[in-house]
Amino acid sequence: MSILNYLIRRIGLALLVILGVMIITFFVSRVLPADPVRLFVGVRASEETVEAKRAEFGLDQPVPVQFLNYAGGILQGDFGISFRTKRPIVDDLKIFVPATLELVILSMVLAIVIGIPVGVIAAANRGGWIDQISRIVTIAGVSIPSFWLALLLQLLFFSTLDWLPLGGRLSREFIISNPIETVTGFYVIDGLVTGNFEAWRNALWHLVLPTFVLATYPISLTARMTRSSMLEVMSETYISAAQAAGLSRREILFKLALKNAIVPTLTVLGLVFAFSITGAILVEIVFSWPGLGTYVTESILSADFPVVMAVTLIVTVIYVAINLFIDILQATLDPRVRLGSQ
Amino acid sequence: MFLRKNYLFLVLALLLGLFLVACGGTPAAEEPAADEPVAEEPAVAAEEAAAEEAAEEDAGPKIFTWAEAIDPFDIDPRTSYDGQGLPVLGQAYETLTHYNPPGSDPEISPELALSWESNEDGTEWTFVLREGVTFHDGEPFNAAAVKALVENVRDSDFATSWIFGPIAEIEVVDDYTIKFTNEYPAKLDLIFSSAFGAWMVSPNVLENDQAWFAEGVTAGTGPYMITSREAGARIVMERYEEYWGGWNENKFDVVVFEYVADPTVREQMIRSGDADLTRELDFENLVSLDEADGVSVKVEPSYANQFIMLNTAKAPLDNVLVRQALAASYPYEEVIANLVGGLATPAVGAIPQSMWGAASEGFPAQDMDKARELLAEAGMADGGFEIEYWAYEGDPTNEQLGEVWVPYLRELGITLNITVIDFNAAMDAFWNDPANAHHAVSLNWFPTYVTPFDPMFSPFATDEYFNIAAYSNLDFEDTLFAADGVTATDQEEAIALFQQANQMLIDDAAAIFAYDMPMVWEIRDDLSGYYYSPAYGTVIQVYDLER
Repeated sequence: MSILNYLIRRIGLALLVILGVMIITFFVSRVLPADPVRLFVGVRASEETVEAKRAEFGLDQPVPVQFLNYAGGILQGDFGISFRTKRPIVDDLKIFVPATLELVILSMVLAIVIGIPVGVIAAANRGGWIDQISRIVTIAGVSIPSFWLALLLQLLFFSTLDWLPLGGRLSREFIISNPIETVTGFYVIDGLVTGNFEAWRNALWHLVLPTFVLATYPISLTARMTRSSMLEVMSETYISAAQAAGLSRREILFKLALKNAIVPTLTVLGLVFAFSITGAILVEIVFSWPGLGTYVTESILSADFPVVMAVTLIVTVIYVAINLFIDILQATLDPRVRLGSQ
Repeated sequence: MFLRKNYLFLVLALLLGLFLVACGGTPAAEEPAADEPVAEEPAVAAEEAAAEEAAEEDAGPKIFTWAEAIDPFDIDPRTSYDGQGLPVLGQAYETLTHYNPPGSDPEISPELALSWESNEDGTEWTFVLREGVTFHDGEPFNAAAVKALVENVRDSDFATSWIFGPIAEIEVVDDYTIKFTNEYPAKLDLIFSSAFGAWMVSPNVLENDQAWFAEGVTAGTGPYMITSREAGARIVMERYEEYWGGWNENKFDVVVFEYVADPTVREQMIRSGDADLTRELDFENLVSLDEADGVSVKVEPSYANQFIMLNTAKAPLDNVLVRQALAASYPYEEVIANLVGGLATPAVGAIPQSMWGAASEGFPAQDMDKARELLAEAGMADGGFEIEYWAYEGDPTNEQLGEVWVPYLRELGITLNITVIDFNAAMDAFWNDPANAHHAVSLNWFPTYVTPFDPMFSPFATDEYFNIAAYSNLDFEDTLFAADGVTATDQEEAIALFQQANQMLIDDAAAIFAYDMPMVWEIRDDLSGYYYSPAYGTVIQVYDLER
């Protein structure tokens, strides 16, 4: 199978997954025993008001018609109105998606730049003290609940040492007097692009704790996966041949062995990325981070179905896109992947 | 190839650099105020004092930070009907009259209306308005603006519209005098002090809907106006320079509402001084919090009730003797001592103790012997039935109210099954089929304005949406309306009738009246001017506070 055919097949499957999720979330939202219109108009509103709003939102129409309206809206980028915030959901998502992605992407960068080298070095020193320490630390890293670690670090770095801020994306003094102008929604980028370096530094300052907490699991998992794959590859005969040929240890580890050991790690990274988006919910709540997690939690608690559906769809799309990217990367790195799919 | 070592080192170096820059020292905005007393030479001290003064001038606006749990659902002052919206609305909008804390004389004092009078039967009211007041959009506040607002709320399908229901005609006598003629007697000075629906709004924005206000716009006469809103995160309000009350240097320039869901984090914020005010913290931490440096815990009375509604439509609770037995078995003292941090107060029926018209005797007490007698009288001496107790999710107290009851019901041979349920789902289930919904369900109630009519009418009048006890007693309703009818003209008679109606609820055991709820604020103790009126629920006016 050529790379083009492979690509078309994978994209087709991805679209099917997205459509499936859209159908399931829609119909589940329609059978749940709660009235979102009551939420919109307030619990003390009269029945006439409730029914008028129900008609306005098209919720009095047959369910298939409602689905077609919903799907049509999605195709035009219209996710509807949040029953809770009364704002177009797409406007809310423009704020919350970049905030979450900023956190998740930075934690994934940490997972790659820390987790992979740690895994390689641990494998190269199998049984040694570096390996033992890295195994203990990474087991702790995948085991510690993120909300607990977050609270612990807040107590240490905010309440006790007063080194790092408690939460939020920016100190309120900057929000009021010197806010970062929104370009992409990523403060790390926007602060630089707009030349607001003081606020940019403050934004980085606020990123330290939540990023570290969110990255703990991906770093640990990546390190463990890389170590395990590396150990398998290091036992191959071509590694022995390379050693015999006199290649340096660094070349063997990072150029020869890692290239072959990286494929399973990439698969894990794709899954961990999606995990981090949903895992960010707890981290965002503890750090008052105004991202998708905070948004969807409040929406779930208040039965704001349109938001729950929109966020589920967004997370699905990100998940599918990342896995598609990883699949393509794997197929590029290892031709056996696309041959195998024949 | 991304595995090239140079690239890897570059990424590593970049990342390290970013974090080193971030961790290179606390930015100025994060620096805690240093206030250690140090003996110094006079000249040095004078120089430093001058420098401090200059620094204060450059320090930017005085910010008041209020940590709340939930971003408000609705900040349209005409439609907002919950405790989340009130803190914001209370800074931006004002009412014609103000309801003072319990025990105050007078009960109602001027706010945007300077004085008022009514005829003897409470059907004609004339209000004289404050002059020199403007809305945030520059529009002058006057009689025409009041007329426009009242008509807008009364004639819309807002949930709050009923409060202006008695008003039949509105006459603008002159720019600052307005006359209302009622269809029936109604105490308009009380209604215009309402925490919901009676905030004065600029006539220029009355055509706009909730979504418009949700963008973060205010058009009131209050001291602060919203300047930015980051949904789910914060609302920033800045002072309205033209505020009629005027400004001094000790008042706050900016009020920031930070929405922080986790109570543990809010507690850290108030302890550290990162927040100036918060509420809804865990009750078990209040004692240590009150002892902490810099924090003061204020426990206030409120007009909120905690009911356990008993479903009169579902067997065997359709038998009044069974309901009375359940009410007798409820561990009131234990609940008050152990739940809500021991801060709740005993309740006599639906009228809160801090509200006018409350009964001063007849406090309920657990009586298991009486419960057994009543069950025996109902032909259920050994119990032998199950009770479905529903607790609304979001507040663990709702579950605890059922959990503490379990062992006592077990003594009577009754099993209590607790289900935690979404509020809307519970309401839907009840209204679809009351006979197959809960037996008992927790409900807390906060009145729209301060009248005993409110906590008795909506939760207990026939077919009212919140009557999830399916209670129907026409004598009770007649008495209640009779009491409301004389509220404007004869408060003593009104109190007698309200208490009569309240006793009917107790005798019929339409609900278990568990306790009256407290209102607890956590506030930094270097603030002066603290004032709270429970009529406004979750409002503290930041304008009153100074540092």
